[in-house]
Amino acid sequence: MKWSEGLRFHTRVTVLTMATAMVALVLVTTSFVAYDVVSLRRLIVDRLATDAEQIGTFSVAAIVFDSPTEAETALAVLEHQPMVTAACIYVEDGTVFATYTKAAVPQSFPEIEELSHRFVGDHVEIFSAIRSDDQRVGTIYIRRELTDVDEHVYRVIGLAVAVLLASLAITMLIAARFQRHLTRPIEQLSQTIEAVGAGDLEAKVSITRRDEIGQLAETFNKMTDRLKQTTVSRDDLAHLNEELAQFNRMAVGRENRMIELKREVNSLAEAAGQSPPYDLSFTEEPAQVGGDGHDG
Amino acid sequence: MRTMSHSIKVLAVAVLVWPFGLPGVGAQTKIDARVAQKVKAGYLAHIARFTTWPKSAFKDTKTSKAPLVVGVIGPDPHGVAKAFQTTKLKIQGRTVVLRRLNFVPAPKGKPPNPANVVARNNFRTQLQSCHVLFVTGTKQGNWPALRALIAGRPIITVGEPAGFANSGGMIEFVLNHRTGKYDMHINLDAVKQADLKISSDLLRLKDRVKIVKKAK
Repeated sequence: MKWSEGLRFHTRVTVLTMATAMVALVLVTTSFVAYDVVSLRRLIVDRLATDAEQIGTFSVAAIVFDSPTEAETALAVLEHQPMVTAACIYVEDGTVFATYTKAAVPQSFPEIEELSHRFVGDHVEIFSAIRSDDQRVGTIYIRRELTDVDEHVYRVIGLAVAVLLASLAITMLIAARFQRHLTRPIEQLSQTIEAVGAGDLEAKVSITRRDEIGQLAETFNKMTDRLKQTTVSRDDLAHLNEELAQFNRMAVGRENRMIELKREVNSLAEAAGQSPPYDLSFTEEPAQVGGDGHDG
Repeated sequence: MRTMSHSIKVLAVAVLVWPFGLPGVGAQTKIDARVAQKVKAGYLAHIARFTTWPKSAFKDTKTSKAPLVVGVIGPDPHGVAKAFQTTKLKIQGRTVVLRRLNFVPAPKGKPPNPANVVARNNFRTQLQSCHVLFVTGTKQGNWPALRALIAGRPIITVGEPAGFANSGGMIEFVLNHRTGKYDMHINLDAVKQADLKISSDLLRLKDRVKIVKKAK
């Protein structure tokens, strides 16, 4: 990622750790909140279904013997549930037989539905068949407001955000400590490499860990040792070479002196009318190939 | 004379109108009666649903394969028996059989006519094998004789005759003229004597059920 290229290593480690932790925490908290909401809704629907079943059982006689008053008495048990604002019982042909509405909350009743329940905006509606033996004699409808669920959801989301922030703070502390542990040997390695690069072959990395960084440090130390050995051998060779060159220079000088002396002896012999005793023809310039006129 | 002429005219108009007017009223009555029979037939099935019989009332004590027998006896001009649909009807897991019964009096004469004796015995067997007995008609008629034949047997008796619940019957349909519905007068002592139980769900319907305290 280009944006991170300018960041220091320990900053990158911190950012990476925090990002990973953030993603994981958001996923976990979102899952928990979603699960909580779904469970709560399921619980509400189950509770309504149980209420509907009980009221239905209690109302069968009232329905089949045409006693709306008794059916309304059965529905009145819903008074104990403050979030239930409306309920009714339909008879077989779909007409409303008995009703319940929470005081001061006027309600209209929907057409009878075959579905079991539905969430509609701020409330949930449940429809449940009322049976006598296997015969369906009616349907019960209950409407429950969801304001308490919304409040619960807000509380859970608030709690989740608080947990998320606290977790991130703890993660940040752990990441800071962890990145120091991780980046310090790398910085040490880097400094040693710089020192070796500057010619200090005595520089060593003092990392004794057994992980990859430890292996790297050990390999680097071995490499430095070998580099040092190689450098020492090269210096010895250069020294020997110098000695040889000096010796060579001395030997050549003495030979030249000998030639000079022999040439002087030959000159003295020639001057005395004797033939030169030393053959110094090898010192003559070789015949020029192509003969450009240079004579020795 | 003028007054008499006017009266004749009124009478003539009345006679002319009568064939158009009364059938309407008659049809209304007929429809009401049909609805009433349907309501009664429905009530009958539901009363059976709210009744608990002793195990001995059915030939099968473990399975629920023996049918529940509903007997209808008495004049039935509006066809309550016809309104009682047994097709696909199940009560407490049992199929329902409707049995139309005709009263056979005890044979008279000494010695009695053997054919009458056989007919009487058959009638008694059929009557006593019922689980629900619906006695139709507004008059008690043969009810006292029927009551003697089924005394102590687990048969829930439902009837239309006036004073049925006060004369040993268990449930009496009584038309409530104010509501236009059939209320039920229930004689719990008679129910208990027959070793039957009626669900409290039914007895709880205060606006529709009146408990008759003493069996007569």
